[in-house]
Amino acid sequence: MASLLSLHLPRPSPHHLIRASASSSSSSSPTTTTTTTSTTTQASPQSLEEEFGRKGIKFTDIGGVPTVELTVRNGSSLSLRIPDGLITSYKPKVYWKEDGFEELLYTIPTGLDSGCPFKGGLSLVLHDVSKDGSPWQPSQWTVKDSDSDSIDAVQVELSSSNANGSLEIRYVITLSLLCMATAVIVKNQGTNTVKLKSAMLSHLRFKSRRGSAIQGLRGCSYCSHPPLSSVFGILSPAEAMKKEPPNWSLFNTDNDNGNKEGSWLVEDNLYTVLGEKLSRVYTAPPMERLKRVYNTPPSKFETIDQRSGLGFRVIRIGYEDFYICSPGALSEKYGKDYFICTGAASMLVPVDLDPGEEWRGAQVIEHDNL
Amino acid sequence: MEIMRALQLHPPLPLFKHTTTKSYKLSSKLSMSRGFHKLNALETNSTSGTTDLEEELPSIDFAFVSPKLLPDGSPDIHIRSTVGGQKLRDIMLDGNIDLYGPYDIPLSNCAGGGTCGTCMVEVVEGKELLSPRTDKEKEILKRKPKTWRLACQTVVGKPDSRGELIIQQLPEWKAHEWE
Repeated sequence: MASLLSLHLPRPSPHHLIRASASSSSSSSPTTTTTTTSTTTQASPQSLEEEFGRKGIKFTDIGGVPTVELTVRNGSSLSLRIPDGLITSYKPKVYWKEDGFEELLYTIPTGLDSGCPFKGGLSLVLHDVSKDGSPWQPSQWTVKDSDSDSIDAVQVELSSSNANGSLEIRYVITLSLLCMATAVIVKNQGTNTVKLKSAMLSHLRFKSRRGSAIQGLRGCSYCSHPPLSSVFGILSPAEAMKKEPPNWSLFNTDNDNGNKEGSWLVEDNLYTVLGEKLSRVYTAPPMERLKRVYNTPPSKFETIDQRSGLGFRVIRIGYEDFYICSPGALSEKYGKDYFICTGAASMLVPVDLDPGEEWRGAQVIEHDNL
Repeated sequence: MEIMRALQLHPPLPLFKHTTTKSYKLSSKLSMSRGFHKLNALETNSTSGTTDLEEELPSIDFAFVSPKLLPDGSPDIHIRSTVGGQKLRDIMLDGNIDLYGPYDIPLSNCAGGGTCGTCMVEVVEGKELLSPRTDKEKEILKRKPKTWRLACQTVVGKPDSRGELIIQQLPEWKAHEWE
């Protein structure tokens, strides 16, 4: 697999800026906003398409919300809602046959009238935990740049910032033939050190509950831990940690009913079975990290779905932990298919970002099912 | 957009300082077996003020480099630390480091016999800690670079050795060059 990713996007050329101002001044589209109020709202899909549209990058309007659809040469596609920054669909080509696409992400409607009508999918969770109380999270995204090499890979960059502009966040979503990557770059433009916790909350779909597992975490320490709270998480932190009533089935081997939150164990098994309810963080324990040298946790794992025969590899770059949650019997409340919530995270130990410093983290989901 | 990153690897000696870039105090009480330690809040710092490197048991630090780079072009490195005097193959298998690659399936390797040659590794740094090449190794690695060893024939130091070792896994499959 030749293509490697870069987290750098070229600076928008002056040509782009000229086109942007021209399109906004002459925009006569009936839909809502223009680029005059720059920070929170953005131009209509038509002007976004003019400014950022490329081969494989299409801006449209789905349900009144600007959405960008990325596609690559082999037909793999990705759908991203711009204002929320939620990836609602990733359909890679996984079978050689005609139309051999499978939806990997699990997205469900929330049925709410206001806010985002979807939960699940893949979202960036970023908490500014510098102060006590409820942490600040980015909530409004605008398109900053796009890039495409016209056949193999396409990339879109969203940006957001906090109220006083001290944190500048860039969220780069890349789609390639056999992988998709989400990267975050946080720059501290303020004068105080900021503490950040972050995760790429990915809800992955499985065809079978009994045949779902993860390989590659043997030897890694883990502890029971709730996920970072997010408006897009299907299971809230409390729900994720709630113990399932003990069932006497033969499959009751690998759940966390026995673990107290905070106690560390080491994964002994080659496969981590995901049939029962669990919510864990796989990483080097924070106390270990204080030592002169400690065993580094694995940088990737692979999911196994016995019924569909598909596997996906999740790779973390810049992130310290892997968060893994399986809903067990609770998945029946949400839909027919089984799902897990997983992703690269730095959630146990906050990252210290000094003024002027930049932090980068990325998660890559790749597959070799073809 | 750069699809191919220029490969800029070199054996990173500052590797072992990656654990924490900020200063910390090492307490002798923290040197306990991993996995069964009740987690305390990270803010309660260890009380001892001195770095107790002399009291810490002698061990050898390893950096294992995977043949495949991470998607952003950076090397995929795993750190382990263990007591010396063991065979490199045992250290790698106990530490869940991929030694055999595609030959990891049953009956595809000789499981330490020194006859199949599938446990080849490249020693990037620290070869002075290792036992010299055995005759079996010389035979099997005749046409390979001098830095390559068979992990099942190589003994790493002695129980009281200290040092650092950088090992390239699966050197025949690696996608980069060491300077």
